[in-house]
Amino acid sequence: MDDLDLIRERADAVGLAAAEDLAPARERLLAAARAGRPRRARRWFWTAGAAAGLAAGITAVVALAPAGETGAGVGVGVAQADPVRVLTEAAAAALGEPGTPPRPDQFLYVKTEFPDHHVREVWLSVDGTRDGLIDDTKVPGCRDGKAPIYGANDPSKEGTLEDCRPSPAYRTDLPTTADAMSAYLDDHHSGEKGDVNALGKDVITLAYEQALPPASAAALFEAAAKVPGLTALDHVTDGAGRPGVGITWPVPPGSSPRAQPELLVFDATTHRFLGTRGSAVTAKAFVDQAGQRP
Amino acid sequence: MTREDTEDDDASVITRSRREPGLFAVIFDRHARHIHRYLVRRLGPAAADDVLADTFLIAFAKRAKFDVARPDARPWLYGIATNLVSRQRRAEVRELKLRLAVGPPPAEAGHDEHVADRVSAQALGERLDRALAALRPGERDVLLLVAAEGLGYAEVAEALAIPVGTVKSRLSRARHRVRAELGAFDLVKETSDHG
Repeated sequence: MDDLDLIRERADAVGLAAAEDLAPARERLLAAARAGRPRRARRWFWTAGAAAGLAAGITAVVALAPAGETGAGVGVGVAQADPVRVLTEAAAAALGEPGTPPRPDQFLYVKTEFPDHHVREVWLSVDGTRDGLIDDTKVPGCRDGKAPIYGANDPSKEGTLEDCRPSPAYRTDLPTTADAMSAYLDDHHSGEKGDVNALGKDVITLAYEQALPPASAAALFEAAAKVPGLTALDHVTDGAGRPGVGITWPVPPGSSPRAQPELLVFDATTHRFLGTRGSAVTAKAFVDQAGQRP
Repeated sequence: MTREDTEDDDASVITRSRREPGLFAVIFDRHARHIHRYLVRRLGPAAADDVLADTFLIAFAKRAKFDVARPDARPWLYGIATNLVSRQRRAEVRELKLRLAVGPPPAEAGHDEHVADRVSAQALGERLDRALAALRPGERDVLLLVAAEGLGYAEVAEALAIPVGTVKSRLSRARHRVRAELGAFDLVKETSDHG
């Protein structure tokens, strides 16, 4: 065995992909063929998998940094501003949003666009008692402690009831001051206590496919501003390529070298929450029916 | 590099695609999986999908310039892909170094190497990656196209638009450097069950 054999053997560990895995690239080629001129990707994308389920956060993404970027893996200059200022402005912007509360029988509609034109749409019950939709999958509402089972593996279970607790999309249960919100996040943390990375994802979860009254939304960003170790980044883009300022944090110790922390992207002028590196919230509104678009 | 289908060769498909752009999908279907695998090997899976798409978009845009005297488009596609890899030098070196940190992708099931063999193969692989990362880019291109992708000298010359003599001299320099880096290992003794 010589050096060439060794290289071949190491290369053999990478097999051929299935044809369907290459479908997006093929589709881009066909689109260019139809358009008569190729459109190069303007930037590199990597997708954020959106977890199914009511409390869908955006799962962490593991990816290499795009080429030509800094070793920091984000490739943008550190903001002139500090993260506290960015988040404080986001809080102020949230306070300025029209605060008309929805009716309990309405639905929160959120449209998320991912790179490669994948779109996710959800209709989540404002009070959690009505059946909602995630794309075209029914999400059971919880009425009087019982929710119907949809999409069961066992067809005989379809539509039968199971115990539940409602998950309202409109969160009237959240605190309205920064300190109380910090305490709430501490009490309801998804990761280890004090894990900044998990806390960041908890913040994204609340800001993403849930609706908060303005005072709670402001408290959320103010509480986030108190987290130590945050970094602000100028000139980041969300998953749809919209420019903004970003907030990120160090990866937890012991992570894979590929691990990338989430990035919260805010509009640089209006300071509204836009999305993350791999996702873009492009519509958020209350509608009367599941399946109805604003 | 042979294909089993007896349909029109790549050159005639590409020629017809100048009038019927959609036909270029045939070229994609024939070669995309191999070009993708090459990109995964060089840049890692995260980057490969995008670069693959760009490779074929560039090939599509340049189809009028394709040399129809060549029946097989794969070396040409390897060349475009290699060009794009070269714009991602840092990403490639990072990928090689990353593999040092996380280990190689799991090998095919069905090997029953002894643990000791695996450990030394791992150490050897790390050395190899380090050696590859240290090569000059042009040398790494040639070495990997020959050793990992199985292209002949003439095909590499065609892919990289360099003379065959340059292919040979780059290959010999690259191998010399890699072997120097691997020197501590007795390669013959390290032969695994199937190598």
